[in-house]
Amino acid sequence: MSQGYEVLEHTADIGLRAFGDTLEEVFTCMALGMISLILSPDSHVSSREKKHIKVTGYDPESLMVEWLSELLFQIYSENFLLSDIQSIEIRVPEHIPADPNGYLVSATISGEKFRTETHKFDLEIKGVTYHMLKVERLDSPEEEPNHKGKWQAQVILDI
Amino acid sequence: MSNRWEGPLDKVDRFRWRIPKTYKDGMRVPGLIYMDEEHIDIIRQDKAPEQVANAAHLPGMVGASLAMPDIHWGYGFAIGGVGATRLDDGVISPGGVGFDINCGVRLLKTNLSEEDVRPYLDKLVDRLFRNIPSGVGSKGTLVLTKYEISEVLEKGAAWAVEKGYGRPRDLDMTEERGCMKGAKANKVSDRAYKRGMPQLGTLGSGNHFLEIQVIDELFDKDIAEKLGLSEDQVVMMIHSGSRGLGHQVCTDYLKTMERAVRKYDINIPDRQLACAPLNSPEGKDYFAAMAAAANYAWANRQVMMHLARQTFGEIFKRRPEDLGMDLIYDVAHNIAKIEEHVVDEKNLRVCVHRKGATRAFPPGHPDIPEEYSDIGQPVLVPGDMGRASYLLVGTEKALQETFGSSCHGAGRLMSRTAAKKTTSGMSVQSKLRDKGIIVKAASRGVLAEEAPEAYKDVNEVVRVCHEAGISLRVARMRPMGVVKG
Repeated sequence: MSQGYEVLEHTADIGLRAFGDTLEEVFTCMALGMISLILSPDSHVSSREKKHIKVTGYDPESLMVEWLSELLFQIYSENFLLSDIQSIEIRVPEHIPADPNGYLVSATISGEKFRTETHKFDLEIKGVTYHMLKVERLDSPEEEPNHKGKWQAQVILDI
Repeated sequence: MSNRWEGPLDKVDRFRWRIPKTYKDGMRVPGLIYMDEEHIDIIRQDKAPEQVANAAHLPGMVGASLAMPDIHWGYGFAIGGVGATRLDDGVISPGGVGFDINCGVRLLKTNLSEEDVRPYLDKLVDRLFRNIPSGVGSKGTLVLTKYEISEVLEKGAAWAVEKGYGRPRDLDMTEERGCMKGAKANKVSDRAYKRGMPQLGTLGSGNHFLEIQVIDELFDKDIAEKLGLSEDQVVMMIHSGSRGLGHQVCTDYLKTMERAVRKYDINIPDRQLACAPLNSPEGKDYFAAMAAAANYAWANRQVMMHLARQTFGEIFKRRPEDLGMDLIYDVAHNIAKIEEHVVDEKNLRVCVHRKGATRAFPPGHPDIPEEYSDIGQPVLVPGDMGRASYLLVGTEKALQETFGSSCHGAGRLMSRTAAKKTTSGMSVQSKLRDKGIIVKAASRGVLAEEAPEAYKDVNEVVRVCHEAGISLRVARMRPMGVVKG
């Protein structure tokens, strides 16, 4: 898969847009986009450890915020750097009632603990905002300029 | 994609622009932006005014949704936004505070002149950089236990002073005496504790800094004299916040608020303005956790100030007390506080959200240090590292018009990515060196992002505050040495 994300400019913060043919792909690309902002390009992260994580949300948007917030916690508090998403599954509820746990992402992430010899942080992300947040299925992706998939997401991160 | 904002801005006078309540359905109060005629077009360049209008939708808003002259595009509230809500039927919103709870500034003086410091400047900047941990994910020399963190959360700066980091007088010169009432350590999650445990006494990254500055212009000699300040005197400014602990508190409660908005059926135009009634369990819990994070930030700046004093002592081979390193004041610029204000000619207790705005209380106000009762509360405004920073004082006019608030900085003009494209860290460093400013940073990328040209001119921002009367200029400080995260 080619790099399925791009960086968006925002006056005080920074944004990411990700693409994919499935919701899972968009979530994967967004996670990889975020870690690429956080680490300097010469930081090599191996896949020696695996972790399973699960988060829930009301809708695809809140699920995205929870997903990225969980990864930030893993990175900054658990010192666990992400190298890849090994597997990811998203549960979409059949009905859309106002259930905060209706949408669920369940993923196995790989990576390793932060080591000062091989890893360098470039950026501190304070949090994931709901500002200009989008997770959407494109009706006719072919008509979108530079379309790269059927799904598209956009997030602004506070830095 | 153009981000230009084309909504209505009605001129009230030379410095005040109103977004009428009729602009959007659901606005409970008008918007009011402080800016002069020459610069009003700058604020139309992005969607910050829309955020001023959005904040006006929050239940219980009184007066106006305000924006200071350093307004720029943020999330939730605009940065530079101020909004007050009634306690009985109003809400509290983490989007009106931000992720970096109690990000703020403190200023301390020395009895040294530029001439005294210049020969030691390189060494001093170097040593400050070494003694005060900075950069992304920086960890302090203090590693606290969970119990100790809970004490920090409830006692704030006083915890640091008790442990020997500073003097009791420092607390008198700190907003809220460095400890916000109502803080509850048990409303802060284990995750937030975990992020905060290794970080007390660390600067962080981005726009946070330690600066050695010299006073290069006095605007009000009487007030300066009362503060013990004169031209050519060296001072030090510290800009930092509540680090990972505050970021995690905001993250946790955004989730709580997302649920509360549905539970209490609150209509808001932007999810980042998610909120809960002040008198609901969710609203009370957020307030208690936010206050706890604010206390962490005050303890953090207190510890860093102590380390800075020791560093000066090491370099000048004198005791810090003999270097006159007294704290002038410490202000919070990302916070929500319960305060009493006059609304529609009646005294009313409200929750004032200041998101990138500084409290600016007038002379005689009961919440300011007694020593300053005849001059007003010091308002500290950091600028970019190439231009200047300011010391102002609060006014009666601010109390009447802006819930006692003023600007908090220069305000960004360029995104960080755009700044990195126009310059490099090396070039910023060498240009500043040519101007006699020594800069040391944990990362070169940060230097480019924080290049002076990425910011609005702080001189203009402060001039607007002064001329509009929401705070008055006392002194301008020029940077000499800068430590960046």
